[in-house]
Amino acid sequence: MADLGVMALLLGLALSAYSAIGAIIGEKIGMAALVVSARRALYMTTVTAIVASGALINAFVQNDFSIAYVADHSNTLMDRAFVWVAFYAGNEGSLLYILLALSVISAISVWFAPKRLARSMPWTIAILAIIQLFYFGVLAFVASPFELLATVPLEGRGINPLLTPPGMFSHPPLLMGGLIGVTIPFAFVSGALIAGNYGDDWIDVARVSAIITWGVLGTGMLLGAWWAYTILGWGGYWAWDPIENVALMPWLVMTAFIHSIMVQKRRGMFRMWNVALLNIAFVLAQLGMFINRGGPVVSVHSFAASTLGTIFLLFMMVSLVFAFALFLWRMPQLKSDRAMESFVSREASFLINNFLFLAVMGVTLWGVLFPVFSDLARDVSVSVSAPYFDRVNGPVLLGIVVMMGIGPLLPWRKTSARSMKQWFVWPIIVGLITIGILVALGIQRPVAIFSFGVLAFVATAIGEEWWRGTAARHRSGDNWALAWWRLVNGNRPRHGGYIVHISILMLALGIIGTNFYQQRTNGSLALGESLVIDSYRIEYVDTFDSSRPDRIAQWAEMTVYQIDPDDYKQEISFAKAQGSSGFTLKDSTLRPNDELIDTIEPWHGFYIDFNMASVRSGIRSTVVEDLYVIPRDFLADGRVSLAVSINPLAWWLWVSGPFFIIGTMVALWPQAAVERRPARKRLKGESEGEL
Amino acid sequence: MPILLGTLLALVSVVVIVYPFLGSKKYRLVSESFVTREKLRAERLRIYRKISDVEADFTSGDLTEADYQHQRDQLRIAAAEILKQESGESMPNAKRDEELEKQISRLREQSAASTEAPEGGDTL
Amino acid sequence: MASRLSFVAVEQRALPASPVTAIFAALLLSLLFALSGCIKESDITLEQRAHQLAGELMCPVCNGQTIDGSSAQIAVDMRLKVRDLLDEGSTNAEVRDYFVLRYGQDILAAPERSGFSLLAWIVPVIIVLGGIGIALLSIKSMRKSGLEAQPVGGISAVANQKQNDLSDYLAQVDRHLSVGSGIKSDEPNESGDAPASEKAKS
Repeated sequence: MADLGVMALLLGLALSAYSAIGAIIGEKIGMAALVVSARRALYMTTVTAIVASGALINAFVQNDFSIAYVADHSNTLMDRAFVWVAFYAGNEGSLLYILLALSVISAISVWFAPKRLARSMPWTIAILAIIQLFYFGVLAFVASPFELLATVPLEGRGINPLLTPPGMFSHPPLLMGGLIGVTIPFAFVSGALIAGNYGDDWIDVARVSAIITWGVLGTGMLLGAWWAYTILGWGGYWAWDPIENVALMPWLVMTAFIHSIMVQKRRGMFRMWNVALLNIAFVLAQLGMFINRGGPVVSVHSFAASTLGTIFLLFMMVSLVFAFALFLWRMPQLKSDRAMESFVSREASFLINNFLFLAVMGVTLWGVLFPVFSDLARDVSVSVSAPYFDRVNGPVLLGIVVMMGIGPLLPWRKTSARSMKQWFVWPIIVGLITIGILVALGIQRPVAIFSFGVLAFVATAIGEEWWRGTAARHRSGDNWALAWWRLVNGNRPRHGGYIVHISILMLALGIIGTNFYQQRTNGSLALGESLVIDSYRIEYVDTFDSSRPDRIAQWAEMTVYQIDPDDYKQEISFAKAQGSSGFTLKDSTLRPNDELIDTIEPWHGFYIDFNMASVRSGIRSTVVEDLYVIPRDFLADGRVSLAVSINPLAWWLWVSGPFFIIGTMVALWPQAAVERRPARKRLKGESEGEL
Repeated sequence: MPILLGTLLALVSVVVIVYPFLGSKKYRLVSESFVTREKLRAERLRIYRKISDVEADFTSGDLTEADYQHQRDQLRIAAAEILKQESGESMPNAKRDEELEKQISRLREQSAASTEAPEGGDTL
Repeated sequence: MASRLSFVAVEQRALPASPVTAIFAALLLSLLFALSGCIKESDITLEQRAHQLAGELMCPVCNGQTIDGSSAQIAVDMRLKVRDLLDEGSTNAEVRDYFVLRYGQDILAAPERSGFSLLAWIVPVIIVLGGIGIALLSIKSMRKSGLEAQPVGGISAVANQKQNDLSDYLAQVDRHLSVGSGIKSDEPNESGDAPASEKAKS
């Protein structure tokens, strides 16, 4: 099978080179047959990428350990379901996966491209083919997944244990697919620019492909966070690790893009700016690939580490130069002559929101690169990690959330004072009331309380927006549900956007809760002993072994009781005097008000070959807070050492996911060109009541 | 066997990319007028969308009646002009295409401009 | 940002200033409000402080993890050491210094706020303020150039003239707009078709 894979890669290399050259020459000399042939060559590269991937997957299925990559990432014990994961578990395989994703989405987007873009298509095809050419070249000559071993081992090394949780079936593919997906809108817009197609013809293709990519990347990141929280047992979900950051940065820029593209759609403004955003996003995605493939920074995500750094750095540089040379060349034609009429308009708020997104991106980039910079400038290594990013990005992110409440309420163009006052009065009141209630309840941490106020402000603003639109339609005779449905249907991009905004609010709720109010304690328990934290009592009742040949593993069974702190007055004051947040109880007798609420089963495994520990946290999750138990180790004397925390509002982090996906789909859903009924007649009578 | 499959794949690829050069089918680049018609149509549909957006804005109370009527009329006129171009676009020749290109860009500006208010349009 | 915004707005037209100022005043007020409610310092335990510090110290042998998140032996030892130092009454700064002395600067998860590393903290401020500044400036310049270029007056006269010329087409547009389903079939058939250049066969 290795031979077939190698042949497919070489063939793909030749086809993509032919496709790029053929498209350019065909366009230049006006030879249509050559352009058509180049386009078909691009379709054929997809076939070769699929064949190469199939060959590798087949090798995994057949346990063909003569192939080094297969021997390194699987063994005969591995559940066959993990073949898919093993496919992209290492450097070479993940490159092949990226190529597969790129070639498939290239073919689809070229196939479905609208006819009015016909004149820029040869250039788009050439750009896509050149990027594929790069990956085919790397795979064929530098990092071949089909490298053979001199002596065939009887057994493979097995799959990386950190990649065996179910989330790994989707998190890495989505993330890598999202990163490479940025190529599509970039290729379409660049193609249009080269062909001198300056108008809005590329707007729909760019918008749709950008939103899909953005949604995929966002979902991938969220799944990664969820995986880290439930599986890795880091106790957290986002560590501002370099690899996480390089995925976040293009996502932020794409977020800016999908906002400002709406201004271009509606008002014909920001054309130049939108092109620049796509260029930045594309270059950042290349930076992400570079840092993933052996960049100069240390990361916990070392699955795909390699020595390909230089090649990817070079490719990133080329992308950077190409994107911005093209941009500067065509800039004069992109200028828009539309006027910004007021600082207090939706287009102005979009622009400010764009700059805030870029600011977070810039700051994050600075944080990622600062260690390298420090090393080079003065030969002192420093670390830049979560505490830094929390501090510098936190305020800007909060600013973005504030804009989320203000922007949508501002109308296009300009506004007048009275209506503005009307719109903002409720959000501000609700925000202030929220803060007041939280203060009255004696909740601490002013920054967090303020942030909760902001969330309430934004939520009210969205609610008000829906209320106004729904009420107006309700007055014209629709029932409430239908009225709301008509409202959303009338402008799906906008209302899908609001649904995504709601998911972001949920995410923010979880982030604020877990960052500001987490409580933690450590302890070790023997069977029958309990650990008490806050109003929970966790009793270690049983344990069972789940070791396999490749791992030493153990489950712990623990029952969770809700306690009344009054029953434990003595212990609590003693623990406090000691400076502890929790304490252990030797005896298993229950106090009067202890109430059994749950059973959790944390798991800890140690993989001998990999010298690597993996855990499953025990989590009792409620809307208010998570009780989160990480088994750090099962000790020789039969005790289990635990890290226990209470993560307030963590539940909301994961609920946001479905809303994010649904909102994105609503925004993407193709809409009919106009509403069914003419709004004009229907509305004349009621406009007075509304305004 | 793998070698055979690989060779087969190579052969198929060659056939696929050589095919456009063979046979009776001749390809030519998409004509300017075809692209122009497509662009006009797309532009018109974008204007329809803008009209429905303006209607939605008005329904939700984001626009005053006067603003709404004005913007809508401007957009309707822009759409009508494009329709006129489209119906006139039956016999393609290069010179005409060039002229149309100019008209499109003018229309595009117009459709964007039509979201401008009349003087003193803020009647609130 | 608030003052700048409202300043420019005042310049332009008196009306929009007040609501914008009101929004930002409300935000500021609520921040003060929130602050005032929490004067008493939260009684965090030594253990909480130890956790916080553990989150600020990198694990020397793990890739990019803090000792808080790592279960490597050295991380466990370091966590114990942090707790010991706190029990002895060390301040957070003293604990950090203790580890910097032994492991070097890169044991800190965030660069120090002094010397060369201060750059790490200053640049973000410049980026954010600069970004907002550029945004406001570009809005301002877009406003200016727009105001000059805008053809004012006479629009409706031209429009009326055009309306008469285009009445047939306007009727057609209105038909399209009023029959939603009719439009749907008229939508660009962007999907499913073979690529354009292959369509145009002679």
